[in-house]
Amino acid sequence: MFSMADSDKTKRPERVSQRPETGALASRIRRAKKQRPALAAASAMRQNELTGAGRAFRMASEFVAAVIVATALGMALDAIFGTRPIFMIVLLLLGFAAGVLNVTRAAAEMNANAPKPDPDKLVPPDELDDDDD
Amino acid sequence: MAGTDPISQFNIYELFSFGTIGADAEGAGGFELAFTNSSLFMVLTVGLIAGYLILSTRGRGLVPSRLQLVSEITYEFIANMVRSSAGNEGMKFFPFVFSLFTFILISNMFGMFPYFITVASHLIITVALALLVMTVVIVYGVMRNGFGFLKLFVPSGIPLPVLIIVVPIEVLSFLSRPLSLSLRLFGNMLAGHIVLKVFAGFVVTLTSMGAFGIIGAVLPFGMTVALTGLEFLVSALQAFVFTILTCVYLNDAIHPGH
Repeated sequence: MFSMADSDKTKRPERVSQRPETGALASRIRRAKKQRPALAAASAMRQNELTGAGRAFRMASEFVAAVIVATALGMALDAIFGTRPIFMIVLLLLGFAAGVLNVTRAAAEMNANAPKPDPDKLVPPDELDDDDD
Repeated sequence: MAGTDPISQFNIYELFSFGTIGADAEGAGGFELAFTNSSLFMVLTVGLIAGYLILSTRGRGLVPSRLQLVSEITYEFIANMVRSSAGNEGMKFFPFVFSLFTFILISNMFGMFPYFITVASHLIITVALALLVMTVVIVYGVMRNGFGFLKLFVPSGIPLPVLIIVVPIEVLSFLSRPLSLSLRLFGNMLAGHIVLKVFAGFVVTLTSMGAFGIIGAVLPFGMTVALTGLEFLVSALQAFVFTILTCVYLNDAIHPGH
């Protein structure tokens, strides 16, 4: 948990220009480049303003979409090969798995973008059942 | 009844027709090319975006004017989003991503006006946008990586027996992307506008019930005001979410190996 918070800063490597530059312009360019990760971080912050409903909708649509696509694909394959329920059942199960995969990926992405947790508000480690981070 | 019906705001009606394609001799069948109210707002959206960007950047001031600043902030915002999630190579797609973001954002904002239609509240529009994104991802991914693009479906460091089950799941996960991308935008816009209209409808119905009703109407009216604010947030947020996911998918096309 704490090591993740530390590595947050080093995640975005700074781009260093290899071209030779001169005097004041070079320092201005360097300064502008230093601002870029900050700007990117600011835009990533904006994503965290997702409302709770927005987050829930994201999860739900990720999951439902996979199941719908898989089932439709299964029914289409059944229609082609004349094996009525088999492909649909297999793909429905696979679609369920794909949906869970989508949701875990979306959750991991949201966690990665989430702001650093306040150390005072953290649950003590012995009260945590498991820790994915 | 039309005043409080929450669905009628999504009605599509024809403004004028370009004629029918592929009809037989009797004029039956075929596909009518009609210019609808939805088309009108798409044209207005594109016109507003193009007009604003062209006019506001015409001065090309080194010290930007206020109008030019808005265009530059939008540029910077999208450029940073593309760079941070798809890398510098993703900047190739900057015009595409910028167009998507501004189109969804401005059309959603148009939808916030009373009596205007929300273009993204129709599934066909969002599906078209999502399929456009996936087509770009697949075409560019195959062009750039050839068969290497298929590495997207094969996570590295997994033993062969597990791959047999993981690869179909990854393929399905990929196939579900256009649907989840389009369903999310469509669902949010549709649901938000229906809820807004339902609460606004309560106000109308209650105020027609005399003095007691008018007092009672204060509650749904307050709710309508609050929901209007929320809808503005959702409109902007969904445009942003659609765009950032586009960037994430474009990143997959550029670096399929994970």
